[in-house]
Amino acid sequence: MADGITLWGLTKMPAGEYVIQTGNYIGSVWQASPELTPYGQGIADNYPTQIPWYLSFNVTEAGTDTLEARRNRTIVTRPLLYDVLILGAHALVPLPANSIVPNPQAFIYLNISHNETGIPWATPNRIGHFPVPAIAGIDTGGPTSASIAVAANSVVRWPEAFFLPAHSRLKLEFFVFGRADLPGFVVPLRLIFTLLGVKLVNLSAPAPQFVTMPNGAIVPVGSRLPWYSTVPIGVFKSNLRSDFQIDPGKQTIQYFPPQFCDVEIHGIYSNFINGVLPQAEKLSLKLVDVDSETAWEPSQSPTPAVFGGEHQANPVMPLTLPHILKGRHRMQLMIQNNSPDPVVGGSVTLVGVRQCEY
Amino acid sequence: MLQLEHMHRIAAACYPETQAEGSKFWHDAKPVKFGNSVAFAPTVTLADYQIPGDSSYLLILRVECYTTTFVAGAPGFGLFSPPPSGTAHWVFTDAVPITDDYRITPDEPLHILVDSDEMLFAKGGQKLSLVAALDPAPDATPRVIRTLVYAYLVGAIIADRLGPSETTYFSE
Repeated sequence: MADGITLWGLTKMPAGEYVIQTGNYIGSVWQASPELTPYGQGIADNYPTQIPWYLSFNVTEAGTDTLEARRNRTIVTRPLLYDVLILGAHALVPLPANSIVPNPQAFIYLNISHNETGIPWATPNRIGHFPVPAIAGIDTGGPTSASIAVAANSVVRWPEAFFLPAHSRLKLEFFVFGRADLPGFVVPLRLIFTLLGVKLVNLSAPAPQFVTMPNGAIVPVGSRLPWYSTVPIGVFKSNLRSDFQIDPGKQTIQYFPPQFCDVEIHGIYSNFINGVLPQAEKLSLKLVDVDSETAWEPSQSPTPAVFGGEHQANPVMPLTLPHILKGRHRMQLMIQNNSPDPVVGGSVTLVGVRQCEY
Repeated sequence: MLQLEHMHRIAAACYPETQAEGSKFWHDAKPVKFGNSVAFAPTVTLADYQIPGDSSYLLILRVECYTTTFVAGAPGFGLFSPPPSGTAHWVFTDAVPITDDYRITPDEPLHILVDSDEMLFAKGGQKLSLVAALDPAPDATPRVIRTLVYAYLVGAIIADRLGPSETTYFSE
């Protein structure tokens, strides 16, 4: 029996002894915790006490103004007594009965940063935020006349666990799309956002500074940051950052902002697969890693074959293989709208892990 | 001459490291010409070609198009005239005839797609068509629209080296 194999409820520890699984130990020696990434597991291994952890907060904004500048909310989490490993998120987005937008959750955008580093998780561009379903499982609470219920994914697991040290805070900046030219396009900002993770308690040692990855690399804790890169699909119609569309029969190219460091791209979310356009299969795409002579798609693919949406179990559709986007390289996305309808406010979000602090 | 120049540039654009490698690229590109001569109609197929099933890709590099009439005494008899006005798109027409889902370019004003250079890849095994929606004919004289496409059957390595720089289209 190999080390760490669970037998009759017992787990063999590295020193050779067997312990009863009490559920308060999530470590690599347990080998039964596929929910943790090697990085997250390496951090958790330093803590003898580990407790499931949930933190919920309301995000509401009563106004019905279509101008996005007035439709922001910033939430700062309270400092916590213990370290936390955040693994995923959930968002309860009750649907208004009279919403003309079929999937309002796809129009609520978010950016997250940790107050100790200030590094935004969204790449900087004209939008600078990413849709909530790219980071949180969506539950709409029930169907309405205008919308169908969404509960396919209660929790979205992040591409990498985020280590939130004790006494520090996360800042979440929400912003809601509006369009000056379409006053009825009002998305209510009303959700309950929940962070899910593991509370880590070790009263006898400080937090770990480094983690050994499976390839032997020793990386600083905090060096693997969730990375969300969102680009609009189409052409901006005004100076509002949310006011863009791709017309029927048109093609556009979008470039994702490059990073100074390597990025692992794990999956792709798009807010128009289930929301903006009922015929997402008539949008076709090609993805290119611009600075690589071979990384391109030779034929156009329907967007639902590559992008995920909030109605799916995996709203962030995993790539067939995580793609390493080299530092200073750009991803290029060509989208062609073969449907008879415009796609308004559609965006595509690459989801991955930033390795800048390696 | 244009074909030889295209061939030369295809091989050179692959940035071969040796002459032998460059020679491989040269021999892996096969010129193809195709195109139709059609009369004015609301929807016409300006050009179509069945790409061989065991070819990797077709690379379109140049599309020429003009309008003329051979009715003796008619205005413009025997003269080269510009392509008609309208819109066009490249589309795969083998699966379902002219289904928008299989477009490989957007629907653009005709001048963007004809009488212009092109750098467009199409997958092997497909029937590829350049379909146009034309404005009405200028008069009752029977006129023909002639289209000629310079394209190249290329292998996967050539496509891989050139592919990321494929043309994109924009118009508003």
